[in-house]
Amino acid sequence: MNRRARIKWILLLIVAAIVALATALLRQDVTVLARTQNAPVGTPTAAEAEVATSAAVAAVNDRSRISRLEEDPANSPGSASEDLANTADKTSSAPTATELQASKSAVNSLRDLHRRARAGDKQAAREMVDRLTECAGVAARSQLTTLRLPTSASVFYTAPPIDEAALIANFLQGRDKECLAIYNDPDRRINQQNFMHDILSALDRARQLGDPVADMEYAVLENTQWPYPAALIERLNSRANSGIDLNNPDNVLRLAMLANATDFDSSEAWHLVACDLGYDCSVNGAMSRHLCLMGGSCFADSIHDYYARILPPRQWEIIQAQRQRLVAQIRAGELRDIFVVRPRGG
Amino acid sequence: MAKRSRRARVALVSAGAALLLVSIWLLYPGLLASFETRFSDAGDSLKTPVALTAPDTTAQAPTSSSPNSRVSSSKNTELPAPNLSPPTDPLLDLDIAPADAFERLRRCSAEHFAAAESARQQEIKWLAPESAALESERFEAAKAWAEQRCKDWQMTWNDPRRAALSKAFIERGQRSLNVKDQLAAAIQQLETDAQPKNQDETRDLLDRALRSGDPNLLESVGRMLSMLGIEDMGIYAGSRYSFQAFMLAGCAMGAPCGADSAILRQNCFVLGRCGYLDYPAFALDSSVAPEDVAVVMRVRDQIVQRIRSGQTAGMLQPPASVTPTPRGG
Repeated sequence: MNRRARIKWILLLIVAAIVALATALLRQDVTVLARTQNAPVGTPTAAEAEVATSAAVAAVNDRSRISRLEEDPANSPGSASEDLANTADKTSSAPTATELQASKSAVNSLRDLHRRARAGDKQAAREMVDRLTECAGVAARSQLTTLRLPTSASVFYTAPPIDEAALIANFLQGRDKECLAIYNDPDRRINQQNFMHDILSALDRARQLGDPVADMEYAVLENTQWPYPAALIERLNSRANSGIDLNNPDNVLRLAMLANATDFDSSEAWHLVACDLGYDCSVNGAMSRHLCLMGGSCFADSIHDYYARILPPRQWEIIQAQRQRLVAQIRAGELRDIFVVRPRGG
Repeated sequence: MAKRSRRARVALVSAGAALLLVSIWLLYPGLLASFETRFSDAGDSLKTPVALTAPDTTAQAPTSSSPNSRVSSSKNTELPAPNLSPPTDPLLDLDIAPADAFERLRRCSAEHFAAAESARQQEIKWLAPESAALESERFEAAKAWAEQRCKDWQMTWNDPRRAALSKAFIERGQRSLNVKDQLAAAIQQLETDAQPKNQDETRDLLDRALRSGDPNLLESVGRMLSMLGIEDMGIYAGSRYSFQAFMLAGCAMGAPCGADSAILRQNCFVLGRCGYLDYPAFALDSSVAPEDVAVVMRVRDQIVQRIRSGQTAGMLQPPASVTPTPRGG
């Protein structure tokens, strides 16, 4: 090869290298360019973009998980195991074969609930909402242990009076695997987004099946404004005034979630009223289970004693006053317009 | 000959590379634009029309070390043409300490006033009649005090003027020699940024406040520690009681905590919780769970003892290992 040919080859190689480098750089900068050249002032920050990316990832995860709940295991043998195997890849400790089997049957049980709800079973639709809420709580707790939190090293630390994990396990009776299989993303935000999607779907189904409280819960969860807009308050009042039996403690307990939109703004007062109206508030009873799995408050004493020790005296006094007036009004059937529009606060 | 041939090759290769770079620039103009964007952050302020930005008069301030230094001098010849400078905010001409200014910026928003009124109405509704009557009187007094204090400072939360003032006072607070102002600026900054820009500097600032033994600084120390994590600022940080413990320690060491103190008036007006003899009575009745009173008081005593005996070293050091527990601290 003569000198000229050698120089040609060298130049050609340099051209190729530089073009490759430039292309790579351009690809990296596509998003930056799009933003800086086209976006107006005030476009999303990097953090917002990250959330948007998470949302996109969540959307993908949503699809795969929802389809897993909806698919018939008989038609796709091994699919749940495959999903759980994938989960195991993402988490630090792989489940054993027994755990996988337990998880598989647990997923099927929730899937069964889902199927019944789809077939028009109002009770199943309602139970689906509760079960998903429990699952979100379980998944969040499991992830908390991987976060660096104020802990036993804190000067404020006091040993918990109960073995919370044991209490939760007792309440769940083996269903924790089911929950972890559903909300299994290592990213907590994605699990939260998935939960919001699922819970809205479940509430939507329940309200379509004629559950008025589910309709109210749906309206509140769907809302993104605080204080609640007047139109939402109007909708809640309209619902509350048309046929919700508030002497039914189940309904009172469910409305506790909406307490801050009412005049009786402490959910604790609503819980105590549910007890007054006959809900099972015995030690380790239904109320304890509800608050432990869905409210994040686990205790081994009565709800009354629990609130008396965790609420500052002034708040406890106010809650007692709210409780007395609320139960009196329910019994007298005087609960029109309990939802109130609040002023905007800073 | 070989030397000449090598030189010729090098020259040819260099010329070729330069030619290619020019071609790439012509073919992909976006590439250079992206570099330009990436490296032009520092010059943004020069490119942004001054009239559109919040007034940043601190840029004109002399580097005075006085905490209450006025910001009115405009002798800095490095500034752009004077006709581009926005008018100075009159609040920046006040002789006011940055810490005080932050307190007003925080507490005087229109939203804050609306929320205070709402909180009060909601609170009073559930009190026993005699308590309600006693507290109403105190509330009216606290409201008058807040209105007087907030005169000229009422802005909405999203008011650009508020943001501009906040920025200007942060810069003043950072330049101040007064630890209280520095702490206030750091808290204000933290409220915006969520994480301290420099943890070592923050730790040093908090450490100086503790070593000073000044009880008036403990409120700010507690506020700051409640916003940070144990892994950042040590075992007193990151708890919902971090603020209470330091505030109570300040009261025990002589900070103003009586019925007419600013903190009680503030809490009366903002939270609608009035009528307390002093801050400890307020805290134990309305902010601390009965089951946590013992631990909060124990920590308060520990803080007082460490400060009084000069044993503050290590209070802000993160623990070597943190064992996670579900309940937290």
